[in-house]
Amino acid sequence: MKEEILQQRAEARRREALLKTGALQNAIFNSANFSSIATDEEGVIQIFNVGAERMLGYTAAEVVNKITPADISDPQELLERAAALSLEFHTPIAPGFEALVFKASRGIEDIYELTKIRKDGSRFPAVVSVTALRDAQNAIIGYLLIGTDNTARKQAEEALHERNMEIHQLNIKLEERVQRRTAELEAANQELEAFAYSVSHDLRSPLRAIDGFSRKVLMGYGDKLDDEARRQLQVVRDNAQSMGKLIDDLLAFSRMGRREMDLQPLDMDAMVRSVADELRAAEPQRAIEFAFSPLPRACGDAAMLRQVWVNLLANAIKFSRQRPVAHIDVGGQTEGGEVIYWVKDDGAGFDMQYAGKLFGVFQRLHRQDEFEGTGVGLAIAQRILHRHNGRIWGEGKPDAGATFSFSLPLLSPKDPLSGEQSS
Amino acid sequence: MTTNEQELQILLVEDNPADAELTMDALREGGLVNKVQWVKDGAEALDVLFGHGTASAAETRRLRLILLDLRLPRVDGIEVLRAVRADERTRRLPVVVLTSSREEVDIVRAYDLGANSFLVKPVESEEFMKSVGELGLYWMLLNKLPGEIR
Repeated sequence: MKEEILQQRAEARRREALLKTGALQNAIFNSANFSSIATDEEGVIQIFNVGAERMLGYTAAEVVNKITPADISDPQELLERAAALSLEFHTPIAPGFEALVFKASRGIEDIYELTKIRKDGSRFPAVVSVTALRDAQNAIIGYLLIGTDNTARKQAEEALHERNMEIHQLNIKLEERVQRRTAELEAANQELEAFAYSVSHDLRSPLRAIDGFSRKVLMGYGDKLDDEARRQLQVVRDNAQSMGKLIDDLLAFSRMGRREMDLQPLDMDAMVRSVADELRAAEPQRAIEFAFSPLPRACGDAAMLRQVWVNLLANAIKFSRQRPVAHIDVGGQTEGGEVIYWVKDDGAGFDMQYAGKLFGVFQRLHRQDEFEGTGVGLAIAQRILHRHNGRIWGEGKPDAGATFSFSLPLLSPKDPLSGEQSS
Repeated sequence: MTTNEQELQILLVEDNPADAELTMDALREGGLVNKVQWVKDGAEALDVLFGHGTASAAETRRLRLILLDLRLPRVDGIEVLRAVRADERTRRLPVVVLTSSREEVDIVRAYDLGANSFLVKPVESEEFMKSVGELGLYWMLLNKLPGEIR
């Protein structure tokens, strides 16, 4: 009784397992996502599943016992495949079904890409995996070819390839453009240099003659001239001299743009103090009180950044000369990714509505008879800071002083400055 | 002052007549009585220095200073400097480059070729007179050439 029950249970489990296997096999063979084609040992199709029907457009009845998978493959590719295999295995292999299953028949795992031809003549790329089917004695009784439609992947691959080619082409074009621009810039730079050279030679000489010979007239014939004639000659001299200064400042401005930069860590405290001492020594009659806060270190070209301090401090001194005692504050701090420095004076200041003109070449916010100058100092400072990837700005109020600030990126000397590294 | 010393000369190589006149004025105002020989280009300078015949300046050793402009017609100042330094007779002769150029390349080139001094001619004439006058006094009176210290 007990044994009978156990037997019945075992039988039930066996049947269940069988059913399960059957269901699995059915599912596999009815899957629409890949084609399963089984052939006999000669290649004649024996099983043609739903996936194969859908992919190739034939019904099972149209192919089973009638054709081999070679008949629905690209003949040219079959030829190539047969030739390659013949070479590889040193044996002649026919460009038919044999070429599709040769490796599998030798027990070698084989997955390959092949163009399949549908019933309507259209083609699609397939990835085919081939297995030899063997009987209990290990003799080959047929082959199983499982295929997937590779069209989507192929298209994606092609699209990617095209995209890569496009990017490559764009890169080449971009590279060409950069090279062309660089060449243009170099040419422009050389022209500018030639221009600066010529200005420095040719424009200064006539000015020297104008000033020198006016002086000769004043010295040699001064007693024959009346006051007005002497005054007028002096006007000639003054203007020749101021034009000389303009040319010198313009050349200095141009040089700042062309100079090679030598980047190094800088002790800004020491630098600004030595600049202040120098400028103070040049005006011993003035009472100037400097207040220095500790300055963060910076990285940059020493000579150029020194020039920035000279220009800012000289301005502060110049524009505060109406004060009995001028007060000039110098400070700095690290903020975000940059260091910021400032010079604050209690001098003549300026109207913020003209702030946009502060850094233009030859732009001045004061009349020549109020404060002398050529209007190049701040332009030079800005040019230097731009070359360091920094900024400069000014705030002011008429008769209430001005504050000029500049920023430099936090950099180590090894970090390349993007943009104009060399001239 | 011996006759020999009075003959010591300055060779001024300058193509711009106005500059030449002002330079000679400045030397005079600075107190120099030495003869200044003015030539207008590099070729003429080379003729005076190394010209054929026994009277060439290099031969007679009367020359004590060359004031040399850089931008000259025909043979430029740099070529003159090169020739002066290449010749055994003139290679120790003081050469002061006196030019309008403020370009770094010119300064470097001049020193590389053995210039003794480089003066950028100021535009402002008081400054010009003072600089050139002092320069003349220094090189003609204070500076010593080989064989002058006994």
